[in-house]
Amino acid sequence: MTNDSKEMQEDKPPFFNSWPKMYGLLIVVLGILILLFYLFTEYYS
Amino acid sequence: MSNIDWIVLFGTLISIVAYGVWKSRGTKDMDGYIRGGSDVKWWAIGLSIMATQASAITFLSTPGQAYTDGMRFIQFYFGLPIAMILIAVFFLPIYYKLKVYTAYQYLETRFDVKTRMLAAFIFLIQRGLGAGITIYAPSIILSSLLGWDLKMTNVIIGVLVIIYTVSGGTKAVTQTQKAQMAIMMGGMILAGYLVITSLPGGVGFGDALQVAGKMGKLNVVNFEFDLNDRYNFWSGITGAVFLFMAYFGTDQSQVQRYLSGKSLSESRLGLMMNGLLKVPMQFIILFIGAMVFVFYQFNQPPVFFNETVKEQVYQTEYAEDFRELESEYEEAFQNKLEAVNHLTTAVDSEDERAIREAQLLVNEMQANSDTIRKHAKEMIATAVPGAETNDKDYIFMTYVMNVLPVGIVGLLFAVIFSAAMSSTSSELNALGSTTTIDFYKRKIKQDGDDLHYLKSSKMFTLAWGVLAIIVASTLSLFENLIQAVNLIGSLFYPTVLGIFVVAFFFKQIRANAVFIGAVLSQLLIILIHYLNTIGEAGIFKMGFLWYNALGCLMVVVISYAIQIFKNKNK
Repeated sequence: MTNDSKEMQEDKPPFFNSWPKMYGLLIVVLGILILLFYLFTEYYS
Repeated sequence: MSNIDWIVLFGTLISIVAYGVWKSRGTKDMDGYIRGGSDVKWWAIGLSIMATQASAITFLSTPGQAYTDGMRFIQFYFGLPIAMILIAVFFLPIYYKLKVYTAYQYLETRFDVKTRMLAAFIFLIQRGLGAGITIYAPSIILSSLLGWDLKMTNVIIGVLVIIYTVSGGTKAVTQTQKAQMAIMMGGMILAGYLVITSLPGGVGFGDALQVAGKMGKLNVVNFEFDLNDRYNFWSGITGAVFLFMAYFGTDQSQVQRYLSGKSLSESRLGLMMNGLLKVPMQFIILFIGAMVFVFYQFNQPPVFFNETVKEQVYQTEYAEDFRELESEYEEAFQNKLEAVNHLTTAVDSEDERAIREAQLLVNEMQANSDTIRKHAKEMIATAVPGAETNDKDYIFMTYVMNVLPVGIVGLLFAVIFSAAMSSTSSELNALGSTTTIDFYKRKIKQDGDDLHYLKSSKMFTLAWGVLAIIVASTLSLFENLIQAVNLIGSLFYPTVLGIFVVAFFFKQIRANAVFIGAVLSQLLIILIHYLNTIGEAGIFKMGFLWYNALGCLMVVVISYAIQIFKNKNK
């Protein structure tokens, strides 16, 4: 294994243990935002 | 504008330029110039990505978009976080592994030099024209609002950007974008607060929301599927993903931002930051537009927001007729004001029936006002042939100039200029880098030393800057150019994205197959666009956004078919 690919594998985000969790967080936040926008639209229409 | 506003505006702009030059003064090699020394932190990358995307038109047009069409434009950005994840997973590790300066270098490693050249060439054409538009589009509005000469405004924006972009490269661009984003977001949040406080006494924030909502301006999400509707949940979550993947993943003006990261993690986090903040940021800008709309329900708006064009109409034989329309519009406003007051009273009393009745009446009167505005625009088109009759880009800054206090006006003009400068600087930076790395160093002079390429990069960046100013200064000769450049983006992005998708996911497809597939797809997209626009209504109707998904798919399918054919004939 080259140094480069080792570096890629060891690459971890500072806030969560793994990148999939970070990506999951982003999707969850997007989902929550869309839900809030939907409720906002419905409430004020 | 008052003297204080001028001081705030020019003080801010000159400080930004000086800051950029000073912070990047140690840049003495190619890595520093093109990748910013590869030591940029994730939050600075995130800000740089956001500042690159946020052009002046974002701040001029978006509030006007909410004023005229409501907040539904935000749905266009729903695909952005998904695109950020896909780029972080598939694109970024490869760029890092190969330690590339430009995205197109990877294509030579994966395919061959002609495929790299094709993608880089498409980028140069598209972004070269785009840089001219990024200067021209705000200049035409700012020159009108400030009473400046259009060409002089082009030169001011262009020269300010050239000074720090040529001198400091990526480092200067990134450093200035931090300051520019702070000014942009600080200015807009302050503007949002001031819009709400500028509402008349007795109209609270809750009332403002009710008025905006009942008049259809808080229409943030629509789940109904409609191919003809440009902005709904489905087009945002599908078609826009392809557009954002193409823009953030293959456009060098964005790729260069995150390749300046200290590590793969820092770059990924920068992308995540953009994915997290972009949607709320757009929400804030659109919300300000909706609140400006509410402000003009209680205060008389002009029948047409572009004062310069109005002055031109007053010089024609239509002046009297136009003034009559203005009086009619004022009368319609007074009638509507009464209805809006009824609506707020009904909302306060929580009487559902009264609310519904008042809502119907208000919307009926709004439709009447809109009809008068439409007549005014038709009259302008007749009185001043060739005049721009779409005034939505002038709404927000007209409000700013007429209502907001001294000092804040200068600050908000600084926001617009900062946005124009931040996106232009990234474009020039990327155009200079791509010309040097993908063409000059690869094809023209391969044996130069680092200092030679550094000087070449600066020269190419300067040349692109001068060209952008020239393009911006000649654009007024053509009509609908902004739309034309947006169209060029939608016509060419999908081909480049398709090449990258094949490179990442279809290992069996080789260089010649993807090259032919890309050229054929490009021709087909142009043909589809021709069929889409030919005649009055076109042979069929398809929004531009769908070209991105379709074109990308065509590159994959055609390349794959050619590869199978070639394999069988071997």
